[in-house]
Amino acid sequence: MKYVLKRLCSAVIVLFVMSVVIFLIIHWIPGDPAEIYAGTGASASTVETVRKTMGLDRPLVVQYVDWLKGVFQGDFGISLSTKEEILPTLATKFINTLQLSVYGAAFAIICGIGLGVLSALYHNTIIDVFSMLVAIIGISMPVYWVGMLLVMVFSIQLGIFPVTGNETWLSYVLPSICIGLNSLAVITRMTRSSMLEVLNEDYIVTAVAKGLRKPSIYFVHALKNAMIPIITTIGMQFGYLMGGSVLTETVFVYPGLGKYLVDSIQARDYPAIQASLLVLVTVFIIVNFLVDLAYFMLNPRLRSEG
Amino acid sequence: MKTLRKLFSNKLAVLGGIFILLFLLCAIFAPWITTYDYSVQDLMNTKVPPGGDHIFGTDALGRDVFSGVVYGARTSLLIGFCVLVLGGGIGILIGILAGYFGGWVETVLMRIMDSLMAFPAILLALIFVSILGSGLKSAIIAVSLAQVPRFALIVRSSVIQIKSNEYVAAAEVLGQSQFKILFLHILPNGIAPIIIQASLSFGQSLLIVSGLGFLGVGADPLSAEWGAMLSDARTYLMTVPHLAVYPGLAIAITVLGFNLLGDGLRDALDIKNY
Amino acid sequence: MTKLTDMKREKDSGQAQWEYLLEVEDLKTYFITKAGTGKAVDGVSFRLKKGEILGLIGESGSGKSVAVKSIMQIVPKPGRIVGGKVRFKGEDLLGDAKAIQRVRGKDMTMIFQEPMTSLNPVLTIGRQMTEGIMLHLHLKQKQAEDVACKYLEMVKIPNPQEILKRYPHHLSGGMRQRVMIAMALETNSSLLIADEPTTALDVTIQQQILALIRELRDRLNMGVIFITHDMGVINEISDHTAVMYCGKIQEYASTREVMKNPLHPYTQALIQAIPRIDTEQEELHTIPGSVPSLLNLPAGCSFSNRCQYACEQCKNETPELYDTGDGHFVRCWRYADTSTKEG
Repeated sequence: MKYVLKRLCSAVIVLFVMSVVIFLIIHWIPGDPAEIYAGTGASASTVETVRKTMGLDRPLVVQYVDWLKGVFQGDFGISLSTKEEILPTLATKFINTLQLSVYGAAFAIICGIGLGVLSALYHNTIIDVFSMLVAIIGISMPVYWVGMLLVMVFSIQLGIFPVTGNETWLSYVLPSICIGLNSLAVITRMTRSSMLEVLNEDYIVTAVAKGLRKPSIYFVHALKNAMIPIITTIGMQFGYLMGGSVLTETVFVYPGLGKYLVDSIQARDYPAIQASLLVLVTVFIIVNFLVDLAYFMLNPRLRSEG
Repeated sequence: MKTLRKLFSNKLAVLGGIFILLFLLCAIFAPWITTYDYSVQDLMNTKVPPGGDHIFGTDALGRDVFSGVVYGARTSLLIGFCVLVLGGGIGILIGILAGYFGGWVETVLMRIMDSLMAFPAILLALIFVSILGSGLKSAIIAVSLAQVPRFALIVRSSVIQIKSNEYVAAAEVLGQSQFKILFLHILPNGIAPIIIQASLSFGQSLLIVSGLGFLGVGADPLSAEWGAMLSDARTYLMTVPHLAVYPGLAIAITVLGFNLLGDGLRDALDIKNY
Repeated sequence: MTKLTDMKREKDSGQAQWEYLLEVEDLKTYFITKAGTGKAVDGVSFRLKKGEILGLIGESGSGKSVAVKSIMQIVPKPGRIVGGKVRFKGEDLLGDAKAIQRVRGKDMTMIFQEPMTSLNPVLTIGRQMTEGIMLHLHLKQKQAEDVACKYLEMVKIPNPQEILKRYPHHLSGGMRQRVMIAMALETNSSLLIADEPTTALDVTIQQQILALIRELRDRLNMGVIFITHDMGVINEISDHTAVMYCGKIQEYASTREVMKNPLHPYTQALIQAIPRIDTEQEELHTIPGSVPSLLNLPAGCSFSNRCQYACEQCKNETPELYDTGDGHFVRCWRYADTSTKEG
């Protein structure tokens, strides 16, 4: 339990620090926050009204607490470009991104572990070389370029999948592959090296000497041990995946949080930037905490110490 | 010597080396290789397909794609170099401080590094870009920051390992100053993992910085930067697909080169954890 | 042809017609690498009766561990069994690929040197113990747990029910080795191969485990091959002893005979190396030189470079295993004349 508490503490601290950073964005950028909120070309009196109504003249700490209170009540402020409440937009975009990330992660995990295990079991054969080649190329290709190539081949040339959007299930296929490819490569490499290490352990020899059948040796005795570092990798990757959504969603013009963030940055819509960054960062920290928890659950040695 | 021989016997590492060499040659000899100036727009010859005078074709503004790709190597070299100097330098310093002094200095520094490490670099970069505004400079600073913890972690662990060696204790007994010990003994002995990380970091930062360029918040959209070129290409994906091929290929090959070399070095130097 | 029909008859009659539990004949296991071929096991032969404990002694690298792993057919890569015969209860295990699967882990079981790492850290003791029972004896989970408990009691582990729920890291090294032994016995094994099971344990625990193995042998009447590098342990546990060096058996006899009348210079050196409390000893006896690399063995007798009696013949010609009478075999030129030649 001590381990879990420690992790929880550090997660909360990181979340706090990040929320302060995100809050301060508006104050760090060059220019007067009140002017920015009022919009370009606003008159001096409008700027003053904005300063008063938004409480921008109060001390920073008070403003931060106020802002945080609002966030907890679902009040992310008003978008500068659409002049609408941010929350409803944010919620739908978030769901969309989550959906895409889950599909991408599923693709990456299933194929990554599969390829990695195969690669370890057929160590130094053509299968191993092939999956390692796939993995290193997967790590080296820019996500968005892969997305463009997929669109060029499967949407424009072959016409199988739609180019953009999220209307039918078909439109999820290419973005999922695109967003998951990097993670697939990382998971494949991790699985392979972890499996190779585990297959050298004494308890695997014991399992063989016990006359156990191969599936039982590989998938129960070996993979369960190998999974401990793999789980950590997968968890980290899920966070990275959500981060990578920024690129993938831009390629496929997919209405998710990543695209929303990029659009907001380009439009200098600071409340929207703050809101989407805060959500992405929070999800990221929560996922990391869950990964730690899973690591703890999988590792009996840690569990009994707590 | 043994390490070099091992490196050369690794076919993939050699391939990586060839890619990097190609990349460096392009970056250094760009003016001599190209026949067109990428910044010159030729509105009479837009969207020319590859072949003939323009071997990679021209873009929507009539610029020569081949020149863009070759000059892009320069931009990329600059990016990678800056990230290594900035991110690597700060990371190494933090790693040495944490590893050498230990105690609360180490705890605090490493906690910060862990938290930084936990964030996807692209997200960190976007936070930075939101504050500093778009541009290549903010992109480089942001990506450097993302690389700091990677260097710090490996340097710290090799410092701790080397610190326990007898010759460092001997140097201390002989009254050498702490900084002399740090730079004369610890750094040269921990150099191998740093080189490996440098190779991998170079590739990673290239991916992220070009990603920012692609999003339109990195390098100037008109400059010869591969990500920015791809951002441009996306607009014409339906009509001028060849624009998307070459800059992407350039990034992939360069990053692949650094990744293969990094992997090869790791195998050759026989270092398991990086 | 005759052999084939013989085996068939054995199977048909149901009851096996065999005199020896295990017969190993001219077993050869080589490690074929780019640097050369290491003959880790080079023509090893021995027989083992039911209820007999055979001690296999040698330094590390002598091939003793590879020899028993070859019997189990779990030789690590790049090792390969390249020749010889292994007959278990009269059945040839090397000829038929399926044969080993029928007996490995069921009739023929093995325990290892490192109890700390030989159990899977992420599975409960219960899970690890019952999987073998369920697979080999075709029992259900509940019954398998009962069987596991019975054997845990047999190896003198208190609260077996409780232990089944535990993970390996909860147990001490001695306890883990007991679990390993219980796991090896639970399928009614008739041959237990113990690969240095006491080396990693401290002396008092070592004594307990040795006593336990002896007791279980008496109770279950199983054959045991016990590997060690410690002559003192051999003296305590085994009925017969085979001394291995560089992949070959150098001496074989009853343990009493080996201890009382060691013939091979290597065996003599090993016995002298046993630390004694009863006699004043100025220094511990060690054998000069070191074990030669398997890739670069001396041309003749592999011990010739360390042997104080070595002559020209020893350096150039490999001696055979000579029978000096009373089932005492030795591979040394000094006994070539007195022997009745080849056993």
